[in-house]
Amino acid sequence: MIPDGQGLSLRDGMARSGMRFDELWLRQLGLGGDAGLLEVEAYVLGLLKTDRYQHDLLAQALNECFLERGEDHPVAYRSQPAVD
Amino acid sequence: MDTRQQWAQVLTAASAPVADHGAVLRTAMTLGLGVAPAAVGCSVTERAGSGFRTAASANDLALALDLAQYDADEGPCLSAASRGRVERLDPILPGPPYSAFAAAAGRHGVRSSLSIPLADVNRPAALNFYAVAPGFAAGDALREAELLARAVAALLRGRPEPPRVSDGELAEAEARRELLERARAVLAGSGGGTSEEAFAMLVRRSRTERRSIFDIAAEVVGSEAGDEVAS
Repeated sequence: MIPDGQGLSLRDGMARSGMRFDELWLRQLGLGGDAGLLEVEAYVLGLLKTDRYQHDLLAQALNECFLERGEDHPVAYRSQPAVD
Repeated sequence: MDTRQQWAQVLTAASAPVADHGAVLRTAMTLGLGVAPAAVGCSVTERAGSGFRTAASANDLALALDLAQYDADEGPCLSAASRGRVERLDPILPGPPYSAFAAAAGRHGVRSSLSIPLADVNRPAALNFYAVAPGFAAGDALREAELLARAVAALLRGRPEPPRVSDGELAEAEARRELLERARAVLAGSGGGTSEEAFAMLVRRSRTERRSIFDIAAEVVGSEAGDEVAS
């Protein structure tokens, strides 16, 4: 497992995925996200500040795409609390 | 308000537009000035009767360049608004096709322009950028300019931009959302944590087990259902 904070940025992950922002918006919706279409794009471009949850939600949305391609979570997550 | 706060204001308003969007439009014009260091003007041109008008502008410079085009009845902002095509003059050269605009730009030291048509608005309209250097609207600057145009379009239209997804895709996403919500509720309930902490647990399992978070969520929900049956 790639350690927290290492891996691709949201922006680089988005570029590598080849996804449209509509698809990323849909994927984050499926994960429980509430960001609008333009907000999702702004988060990825770094125009809006993400908190840890919002960032990791988008990271998971991108990584779900990569999992479907047989890759292993290349997009980085922010630090997460320890889980027992 | 810093730049991120300005983007937050504009994008929030674009997600839920209100009738009185004047203040947000002014913020959007300020953001337009910030898409690139060379940007010195930003404005919105829209059809008004048989002509055009500037609905919003960042400064007098942008307004002056818009007016030069309206007076000549030609220019990149009119063309973008009327034809629905991006008009990029990079660099702005003297002479046709927009001689009056080129002359006005030259007097103001403006060397390039970008006009992006606004989609699905009530009147033909365009978002204009003016810069003191050629090649300003490329890469990140262009992406920001295009995003700003979509946000301004939503403000003028009075409704957010609809995602280009099918009903089937939306239904599937909503089903997955419901599954995740149930799994989060199970984990939060059993562990006494928050829903966000439960999400983090699911993410961690996805990473360590190299599996889709939805497969893991289905197991969590299924396991809970099994426990309920057993009891």
